[in-house]
Amino acid sequence: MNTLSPADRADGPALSVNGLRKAFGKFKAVDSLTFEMPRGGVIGFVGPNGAGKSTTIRMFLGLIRPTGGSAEVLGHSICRPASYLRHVGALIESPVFYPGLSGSRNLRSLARLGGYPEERVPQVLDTVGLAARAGDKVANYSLGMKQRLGIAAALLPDPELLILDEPTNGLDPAGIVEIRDLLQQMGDSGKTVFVSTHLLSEVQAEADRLVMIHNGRLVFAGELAEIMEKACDSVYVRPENPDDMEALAGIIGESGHVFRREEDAIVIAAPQEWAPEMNRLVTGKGINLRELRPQCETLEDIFLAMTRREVAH
Amino acid sequence: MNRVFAAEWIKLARPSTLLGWFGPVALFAVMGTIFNFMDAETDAGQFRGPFGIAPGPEQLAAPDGWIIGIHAASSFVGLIALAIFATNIAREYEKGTVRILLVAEPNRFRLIIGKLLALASFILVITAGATVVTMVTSLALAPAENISIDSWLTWEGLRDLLYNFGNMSLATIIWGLIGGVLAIVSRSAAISISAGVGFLLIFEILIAQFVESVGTKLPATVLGALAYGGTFTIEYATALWLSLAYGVASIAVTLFIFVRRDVTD
Repeated sequence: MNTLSPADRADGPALSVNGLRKAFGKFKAVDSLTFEMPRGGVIGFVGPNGAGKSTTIRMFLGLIRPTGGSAEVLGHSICRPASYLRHVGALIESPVFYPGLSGSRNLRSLARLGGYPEERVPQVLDTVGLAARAGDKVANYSLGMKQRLGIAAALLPDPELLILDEPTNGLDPAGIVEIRDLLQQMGDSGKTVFVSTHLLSEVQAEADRLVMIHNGRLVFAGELAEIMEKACDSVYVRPENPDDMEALAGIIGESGHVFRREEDAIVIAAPQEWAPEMNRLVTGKGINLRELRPQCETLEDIFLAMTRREVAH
Repeated sequence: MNRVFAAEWIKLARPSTLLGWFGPVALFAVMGTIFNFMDAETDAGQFRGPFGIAPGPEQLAAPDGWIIGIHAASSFVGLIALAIFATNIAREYEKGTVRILLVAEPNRFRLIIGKLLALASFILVITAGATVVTMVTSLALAPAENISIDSWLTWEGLRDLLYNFGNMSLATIIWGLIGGVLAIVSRSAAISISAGVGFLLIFEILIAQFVESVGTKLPATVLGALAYGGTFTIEYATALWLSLAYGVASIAVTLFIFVRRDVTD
């Protein structure tokens, strides 16, 4: 049977991965990957090129078999992809279609193959902004249009889980914003959107949760807010008068916090909640501040730090 | 499987695909018919290279005389069938479209069988078209060569027509299945077509020269004999069973590889 029971659809994680491995000869593309992601929202799946993202996605989609471990998609083992793929939409790496067929006929062919209602074709073409060019041959499409068509194809089954590999590849800035909004809408509507990308800034802008991998291994899996909270564990303070730098450093030192000096400012290792206390301390000593703000690292900084730590281990 | 079949026909029914493959088949059928009727009185029994031995006026006036032109072109038509299957299947790997097909229809057994059935039906349509072209060409050429067409338009003629069409179609589909297995193994249209044509037109002849005992069991010879409804060297029943064996073996290998192999392209 290709249908999920109502219980399957409502309960349990969207993705549950347990010690998943895939080796090509001696090369371990995915190495003991373990994580669990609940249903709903946008999940960023990040890692540098060659990290094992595509291999993991191919295992979720039943295209390749794992060497070891196990995984479940929408509550079903990836060893039986037919049991859940009817509820999964996917864009795998670059979008591929039959160039001699129009965008619309390509989707009709897929709709027939998957048993999806053909009425969905104009709907999804409209959703991705391709309705006006639906009758043109795919051979005449730009990369961005092919990417939109790939997303439209992934939307055809009205999926519970949408797995997209680099969905904004080739899109212009306006197109990126449009697709990002679309994915967020889908995530907000209760569907699960699993977006693989190497653009961390993209994930930071749209994801609710994050799975980070490097060299086929898990680096982090959890809420994006959790990791970003850790990223904002510094307070940046700059006196109005640079001559106050010494006095400022003395006050911070007395407070027991670790800090480092920058050219005309000080970065203190402290949670952002400590900033008002800091403000009271320095104003009490007659020092005026030009800047006092939490300093956050970008997701790129965090990823690089975490992968460096992993390599060191 | 019906879904796969219907989806595949969206691609196959494109005029450029249909006419692109039908064109050369019809051309070979017309050429085979012209060579058969040309100087039928004087050239009977002469060897005409790839088009085989020229039939005489009596053979052409027989109930199946108007469609034996397509027999003469059977090897060409078979090679085109091999190319159709090989191109269709290998390009799914080359372009990467096999990935979207497998996501939409994860049952690999169903997917490949549906695809093979669609391709086989496509071959049937093309062979039927080529048979019609052969009949029309024969009707046009017969008066000029003083060939009687009386027996063609009889019930016996109709029976022979269906019998020959059936044999030709079966042989052509098995040529296609051989192309399919080569495409699944190589995942390249160019490699599978050149390997198929190279083996069936060159190596098979060489093997038959050196190992005479297997010469009448090799695929191109056997499928040619099936298309002709049996030859002097291979009886019809032998040709039929050996051809079916090649067909079944090709399907089995295709299924085994397609169902088991990871899609990493």
